[in-house]
This record gives sequence, structure tokens and C-alpha cells, in this order.
Amino acid sequence: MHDSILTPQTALMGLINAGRYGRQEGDVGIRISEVKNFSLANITAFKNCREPLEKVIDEYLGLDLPIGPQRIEKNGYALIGHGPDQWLAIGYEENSASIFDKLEKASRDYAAIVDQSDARAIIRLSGPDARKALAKGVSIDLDPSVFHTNCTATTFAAGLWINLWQINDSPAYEISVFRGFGASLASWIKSSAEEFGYINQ
Amino acid sequence: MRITCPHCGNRSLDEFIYLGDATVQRPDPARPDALAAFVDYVYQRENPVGRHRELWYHNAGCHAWLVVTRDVRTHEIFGVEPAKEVSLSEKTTGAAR
Ligand SMILES: [Zn+2]
Repeated sequence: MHDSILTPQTALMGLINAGRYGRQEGDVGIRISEVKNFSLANITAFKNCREPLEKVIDEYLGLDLPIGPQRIEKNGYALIGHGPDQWLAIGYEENSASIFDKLEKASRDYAAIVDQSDARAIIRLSGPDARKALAKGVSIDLDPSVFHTNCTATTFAAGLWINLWQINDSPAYEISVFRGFGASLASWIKSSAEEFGYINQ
Repeated sequence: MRITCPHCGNRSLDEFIYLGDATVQRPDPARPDALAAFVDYVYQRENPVGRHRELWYHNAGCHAWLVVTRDVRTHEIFGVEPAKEVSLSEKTTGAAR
């Protein structure tokens, strides 16, 4: 019998290879990396269940539910508002999936919580020119007066349906797409970043 | 034209899908003139100049249905409400606005 070994692959394996690319002169404007080994769950609250759901989420993740298109992060977990009574929960540490599993069981009467960890790709984009590179494909206003750290948006970028959020003032952003669109997202971000010079990490 | 989604904020037109008249209400199928009422409900539309209430869908954003009050000549937008809330308030008051 033939022995086969299955090796898990990240969504963007082989697409963001370490090195400096694009413009070679001057400082690098952008850093690009794939967020790996995250856990991600989609949360949709049932009608009039926000309050009890909030209690369970606080108990398991120690986080408040954001109101509107906002992000709240603490202790390696983040909640991202992406629609009315809908959030993405992200665990950046390995093994956060088991917490989401417990959370799902504890909040069955209040919300539908669905694990999408393997269904998404997340790219992190940071550096002084990250905003400019992003603005080339996104039609929302990214000016820090209206879109700043912990703001989130569900929108189109270069024809792809994305979830976008800002994680710090450097500025740094994370963009999530369905896994099958990861290669298209990576390709667009790299070509958009070329004129500024970028480093893949 | 830009629409300010109550859930997502100010967004460009290409994020939305237009459905049409938000003022029509589905008739009660049990009423005696239901057939005629449904013909009106499905096919008859006013073609107003100026202010109108329309259903739009935030396709690229939150996936919510919205009721947009818009001047169809100038594209000035007077208000955007979640269709869910409009529908719930119509149910409690028993009338379309
Ligand atoms: Zn929206």
C-alpha cells in the first residue's frame, strides 16, 4: 500500500515569500505578512439575545461585544463587528479553537457560532505607505479622522469581498477574505505595494 | 451617489443593489379581492418625480436591506433606515409611512 502524508498548508502558502520587492531605492513603505494559525468563528446573535450573549462572551473571552463596525481586542482574542448583530471572533494564539467550541456550546440559546478557521485567509499590511496602497482598491475613506485603530469595514477591494480592520496607528491593517480568494487578494496587495517598496515577512 | 448605511457608514453606490419601491405592502392573501390586490402589488408602480422611498440591499457590506428616501431627480438622500425596523414599526402601527 502506498503511504501518503498529509501536510497542513496555510491559505497563502508560497504566495508571500520573504524578501524585499518592488521599489528598491529608499526606505521600505510596507510590510506584508500572512496571519497564520488563527482561529476564527462567525457569531450571529438571535433576536433580542444581545444581553445574555454578551455575558457568555465576557465569561469565555473577557471581551465586550463591539457596537457597530468596531473591533475590541484583548489577551489574544478580537471581536470584529461586521453587520447588525454579527461579529467575527478571532483567536490569534494556537488552540483558541477549543475556546470557541466551548463558547458555541454555552451560547446555543443566544447565537449561531460557526467555526470558519480553515475557510479564511488573513493578510496583515503595515508601514507608512500601507494606507496609500490599500486606498487604491478600497472605496471607503481610510483617512485617520474617520477610519482609525479598531475601526472595521466589510466592503469590496479590487472586486473582492473583504473584511478589513485597523490594528494600530503605524498604520497596520488586517484583511480577511474567503480562503479561495486569498491568492487574488495577495496578488492585488503585492502589485498595489510595489511602487512603495515592500517586505514580505 | 453615496449611501450612508446605518450599520456600515458612508459607502459608494457600487456596494448596493437596487430593488425598487418600498411603499408597497404585501396584501393579505385571505382578503376577498386578493387576486386584484396582488396584481397591483406585483406590477403597478407609481413613477413619482422627486422624493421616493426605495429598497436597497447592502451587498458589499452588512447584507442588510435598507429603506432609502431619495429625490429621484437630484439623487439627494433624506434618510436611510434598516428595512427590518421599518417593517416592524409598520406592523405595530398597522400602516405604511
Ligand atoms: Zn451596511
